[in-house]
Amino acid sequence: MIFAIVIFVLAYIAIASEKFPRHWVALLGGSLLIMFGVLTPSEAMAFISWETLGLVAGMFTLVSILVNAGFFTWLAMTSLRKVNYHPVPLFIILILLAAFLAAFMDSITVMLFLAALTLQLCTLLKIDPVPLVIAEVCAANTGGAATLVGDPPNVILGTTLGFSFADFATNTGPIAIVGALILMVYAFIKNRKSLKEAHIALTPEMIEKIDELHNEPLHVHLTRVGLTGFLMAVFLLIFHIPLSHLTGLPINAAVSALIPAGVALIALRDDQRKKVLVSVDGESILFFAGLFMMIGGLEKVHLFESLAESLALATASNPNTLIMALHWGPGLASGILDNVPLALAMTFVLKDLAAIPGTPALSMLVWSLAMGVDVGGNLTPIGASANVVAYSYMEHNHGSIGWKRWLVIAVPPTLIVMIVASIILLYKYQIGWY
Amino acid sequence: MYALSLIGYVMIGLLLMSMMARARPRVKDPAPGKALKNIPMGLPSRFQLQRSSFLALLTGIAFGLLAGWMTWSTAGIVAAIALVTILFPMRYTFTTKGISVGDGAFYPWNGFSGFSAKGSSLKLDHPSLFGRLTLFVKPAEMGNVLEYVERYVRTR
Repeated sequence: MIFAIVIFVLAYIAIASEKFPRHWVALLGGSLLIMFGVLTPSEAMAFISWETLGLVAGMFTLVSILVNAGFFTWLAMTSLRKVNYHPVPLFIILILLAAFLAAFMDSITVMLFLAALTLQLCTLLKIDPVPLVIAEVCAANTGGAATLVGDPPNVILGTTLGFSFADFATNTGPIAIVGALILMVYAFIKNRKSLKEAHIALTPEMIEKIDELHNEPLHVHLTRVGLTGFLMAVFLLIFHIPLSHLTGLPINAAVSALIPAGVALIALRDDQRKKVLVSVDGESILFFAGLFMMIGGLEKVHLFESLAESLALATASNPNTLIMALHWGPGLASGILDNVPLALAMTFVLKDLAAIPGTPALSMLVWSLAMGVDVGGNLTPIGASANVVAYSYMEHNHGSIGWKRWLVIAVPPTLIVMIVASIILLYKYQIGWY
Repeated sequence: MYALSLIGYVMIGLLLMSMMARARPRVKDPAPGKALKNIPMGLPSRFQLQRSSFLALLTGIAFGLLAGWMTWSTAGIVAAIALVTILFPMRYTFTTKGISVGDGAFYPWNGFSGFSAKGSSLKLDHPSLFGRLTLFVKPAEMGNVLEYVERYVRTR
């Protein structure tokens, strides 16, 4: 047991330090477990959730097609043109857009293009971009909690424990919407003075300059193929369980994403296909594979079983305390720890917890944990991958945000959202809506 | 005509009340035995529980519309209330003594003679209850539920 824990802790430190590529660290950790006999090669393969990897690969491919088509920048610019680039609606639209897009794609991609666009717009409008970028990151992490494919922890929790897109959309979805609205209102109240000043200072020349930004035409064929594939994937993700029962075919979440992605790739030209495949985030897929092996090693030595028993004992079989412990414990921890390995480790704890008589249903535990780790990721610049992306983009192109400023801007609304989420979660448990 | 519409509205009111009472009983007696697990009832289960009242209600609405004593807007409101009632979250409670369906009906374990599970449906054989009680449980929860069912239905 000690060896598996040591490997895991060392890998965790290496990943958190961001000095080494995280996919290599995770794969090396998994390989060491095999080399030293903690896992046999077949056990290591069995611990990898191929459904998670398939779902992630399929969604990454579809998103990559839409990114190559310039769809997301077009969507943001079209929305902003509609409001004539007035600072107040622009501020609101960008935050809501971050939350909405992050519900259907990974928040890293959302922040990659949104941070760049926000910085350009804010520079032209003479607004401080930092509060808006941080608000977008928080909204992206919170919006991602709404669906199975929004945030990596949801993908892991859903695919390994058997919850569908519809389960997430109807349970964490409403909480995420409330959370995103709270973040938007909070950010607006905090910045309303500077936004009003920017609105007064807005001139037709400034509007003209912004209009010239990102004027590249939308790639029609790529957009058509990407959107068709994307909608097909969302449809299959919602209905794959009844469809599987109806047809008798093994349609799981991975198949639901991989089939549309495969069809979309076939519909592309050769050069387009190569470009799309090169831009798929393969490193994240490898990272997930390595991580599954490392966490599998810990599962094999029964660490999670003991953790689950201790947690059930500590909460004295009080369901409300347990729900809150799962929301706040991993939630606050995900502010400083990577929430992907944390969520993966917690899936095993949840499985064991749900088997203990008197504990709430597995679904309730999953919603509580998912909301905690997804929203808790907002707390620090390293809490989630989207934070790291936005923080380093700003560092290179604008100037460092600094940890202190991040904490001042992000912590209060995050805690408010977590408190509101706690109240909704407890209410859900009381009325049986889980 | 007046008497007919009055009877019709009273019947519809009673049906709505009975649906409400099933979804949210005013008096909730705790299910006998030690509670093992509360599992949310899927939408098919809730519809199954309310189907007779719901179909009777729809018949009443159709009759009211055809006979002319009910307006389309009233029919819409009544149907909407009925649908909302079905959407109310409910749950199964598994205890050491049996299964409680939606804080209302309780079925002791010793009434079941066998079971079968497929996908999200769990069929518990029961000599009365038209031969079986069907529970709709999320596939993710099925493992834990089956553990209890296997323990109590087999060891009888």
